[in-house]
Amino acid sequence: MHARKESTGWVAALTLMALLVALFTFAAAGCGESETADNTSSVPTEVLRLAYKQNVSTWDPSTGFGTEVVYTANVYEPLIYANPTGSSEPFSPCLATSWEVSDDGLEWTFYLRKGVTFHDGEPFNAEAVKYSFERTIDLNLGAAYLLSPIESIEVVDDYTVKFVLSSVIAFDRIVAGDYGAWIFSPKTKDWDTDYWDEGHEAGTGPYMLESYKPNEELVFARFADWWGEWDEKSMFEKVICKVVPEDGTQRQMLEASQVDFANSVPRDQVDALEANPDLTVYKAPSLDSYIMMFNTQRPPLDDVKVRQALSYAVPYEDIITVSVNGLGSQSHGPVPVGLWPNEAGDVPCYTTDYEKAAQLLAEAGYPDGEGIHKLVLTLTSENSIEQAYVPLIKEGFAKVGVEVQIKQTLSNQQNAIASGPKEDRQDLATLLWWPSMPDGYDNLSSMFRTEDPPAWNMAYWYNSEYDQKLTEAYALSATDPAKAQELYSECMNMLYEEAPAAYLFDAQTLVAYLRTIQLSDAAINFSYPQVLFWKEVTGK
Amino acid sequence: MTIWAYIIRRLALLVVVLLGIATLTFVMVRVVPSNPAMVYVGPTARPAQIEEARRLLGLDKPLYVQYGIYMKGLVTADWGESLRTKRPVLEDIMGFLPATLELIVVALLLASVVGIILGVSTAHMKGRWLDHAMRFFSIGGVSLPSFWLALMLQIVFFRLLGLLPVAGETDIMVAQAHPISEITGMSVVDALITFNWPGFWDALQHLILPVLALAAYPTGVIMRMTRSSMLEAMSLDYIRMAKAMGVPTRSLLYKAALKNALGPVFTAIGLTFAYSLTGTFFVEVIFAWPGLGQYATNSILSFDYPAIVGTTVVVAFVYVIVNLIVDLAQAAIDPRIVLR
Repeated sequence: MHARKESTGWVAALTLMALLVALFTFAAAGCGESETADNTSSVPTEVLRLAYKQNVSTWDPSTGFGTEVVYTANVYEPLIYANPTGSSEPFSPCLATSWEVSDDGLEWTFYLRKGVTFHDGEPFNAEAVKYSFERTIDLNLGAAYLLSPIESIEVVDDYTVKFVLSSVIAFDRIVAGDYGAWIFSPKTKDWDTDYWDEGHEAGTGPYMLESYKPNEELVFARFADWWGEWDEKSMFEKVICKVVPEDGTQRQMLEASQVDFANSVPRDQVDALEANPDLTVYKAPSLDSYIMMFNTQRPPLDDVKVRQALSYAVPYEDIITVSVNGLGSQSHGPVPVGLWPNEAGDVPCYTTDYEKAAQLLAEAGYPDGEGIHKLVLTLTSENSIEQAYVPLIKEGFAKVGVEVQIKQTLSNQQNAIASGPKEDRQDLATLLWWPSMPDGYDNLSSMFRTEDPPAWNMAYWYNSEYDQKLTEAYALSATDPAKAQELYSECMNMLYEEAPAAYLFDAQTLVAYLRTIQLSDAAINFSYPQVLFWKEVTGK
Repeated sequence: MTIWAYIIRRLALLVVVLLGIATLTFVMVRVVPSNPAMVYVGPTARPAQIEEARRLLGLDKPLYVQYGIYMKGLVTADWGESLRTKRPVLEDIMGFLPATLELIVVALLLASVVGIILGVSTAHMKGRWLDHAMRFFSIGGVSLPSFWLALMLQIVFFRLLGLLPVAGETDIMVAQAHPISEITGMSVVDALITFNWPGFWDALQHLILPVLALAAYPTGVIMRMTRSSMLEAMSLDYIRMAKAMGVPTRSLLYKAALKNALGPVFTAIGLTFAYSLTGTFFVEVIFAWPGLGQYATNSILSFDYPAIVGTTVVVAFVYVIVNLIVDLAQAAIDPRIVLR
């Protein structure tokens, strides 16, 4: 009896195990088969497979102001493109073949490309340009603020359009932007938000959106009537983007050749990726820069000496090593090095020097940090890079006797606190900034110009001399770049001297792709952060 | 009281629970300092555009008015628009829910079958090596974090053995060659009912690893619960009587004892179902699974309050409904239970 009882239990357990194992091997074996079959015969070479981290927040090109630009930049085109640093010309033609600016800098005339059609078959002309910009201005969302200096848009003839501005600005950098500058078909007049966001577009770009599953998959097909040159032999007919939020998973998919390109691989695994002979790893400069704002309206940070002291107490090198595995370099001011007007990167910067920091603190009347309250630091806690370096700042400050309390906040909460009642505001705020157009003016203006109520100047540093010079520099940047550069340099030096913020580091982006595809020099243009221009990708 | 009256009363309570949950979540996400209009405009939004968005979204109205509008929308199936995806929340949720349900249902079926069989066996062989070994597995299943297990499964079955796909619901190339038409939103089911065999096979393979990661916890719970309530049942007089009369062990275990022991197990299954609904959050992110978990994670990280409240209401709804089903099932198999 005893023996029999036992055997029944055994049988049950073993049968089950056997069943599971069988199921597994069965499924697994099938998987191996189908994969080999796919790899050898049925994979059409004309499909480009991408792993992307980004979701789409809206398909509406007028209001889009988020990460969807990685997709829309291949569907829409601007009037002109901004070239990367070091190019002989700052801009290249796109939908406009040439352009000119009046002597007073207030009238910009663009001569448009002929023979361009939108994806919906509508012809591209001056009316379409006028419509696109006017719609963006009217909706007044997203990056519409960039277009506020536009007073009127005149259709001179079918292929000539004139922008009249109310103030002198670097308008070329705005129309070359990836926010608020796409041109789209006037036929979209009747589309409402819901229709756009089901996944519809009406651009002129080399690729058309074919299908869209939010958070999952986007399929794009070549636009046969695209105006540019198309090399049938090597360019891809179809582009499939998988939304893969986890960096580690992106790496796995790439190494298994399930995708050709991964746009966000783990930074701490760069060595392993580089050691893989099947992969090309590309470290691209980006426009991302990390910064920490000092609350200059509250003691002790209202004292410039304290701010300078703390700027010396930041462990810059450690921060770059720990948070981005060395894929970055210390910032020279708030404009990323390489971006106009900081192309040379010759603005001075603070180095890590605890002795000097202690000395400055003593001079300010706070020897060993005595008398300084615990400083409250808010961060953009959804950003893992900030999460990684914030403790290092706390440690660095502790070395000179200044204590920091880290307060975890999401980006919009951080901003709500920063613009809330004065007494509830933070002492320190770390954030990531990237300009909304290929122009460092955005950084200098958004974060350090006088503003009321506060929005992004979380340092509350208001300086009329700075404001004036900045405005002047911006007005001159299109007509007299040398003079503009001079004024900009003065502004940036002021930000160094006054230290309303500690400028931490400019980050690099890390992408990796299979050696079976090739990227031209224009495939990744740092004026368009995160964007891969698919038309510049070719197969063997 | 008839069973119908009971169900109606429970459903009426459900409405109260859901309204309460919605109110609580709404208040919680709105009283903490945050700026929903900024989420709507984009990460580096400027004041003028934030102001425009505030007006557009009705955020300039007093909070109680916004609450009134939200609750009115909730009952009329207008759950507001996601600040992040700019699409109707209900539409978003309905789009992502099937993929999650697919994961959970398959994981729980697996967990129930494995858990109950192993629970019965270990109860039967109490104190022997199988019992000890299975205790090790069940404690492991319950205590290992699902995200860790997910990563380990990826490393073993994808990286080392190269047997199963690492992430996603389908393979890019297979899906191109054999597109699965969307009927229920669950790819395995859709492929099956449209006789799309390559698609079915591909979807099934993609399902295995996330299901295993998700099934570990419920398997452990169900196994332990079955074991303890089986031990209790087997010490009852009628079982000893049956044993003495020479009833074969299998019938003794599965027919006589298990029937009596299933009550608490059903409760455990019901509870782990609801648990899995939130447990999928990590698993979905790691496996790039286009489900509700990933949607909820993104919503929370961007403070997308209409999406957060909407997801919470749906999770609460499923939770309450599953509990109701469990109660009904218990009453059905155990005549001693009277529904009141």
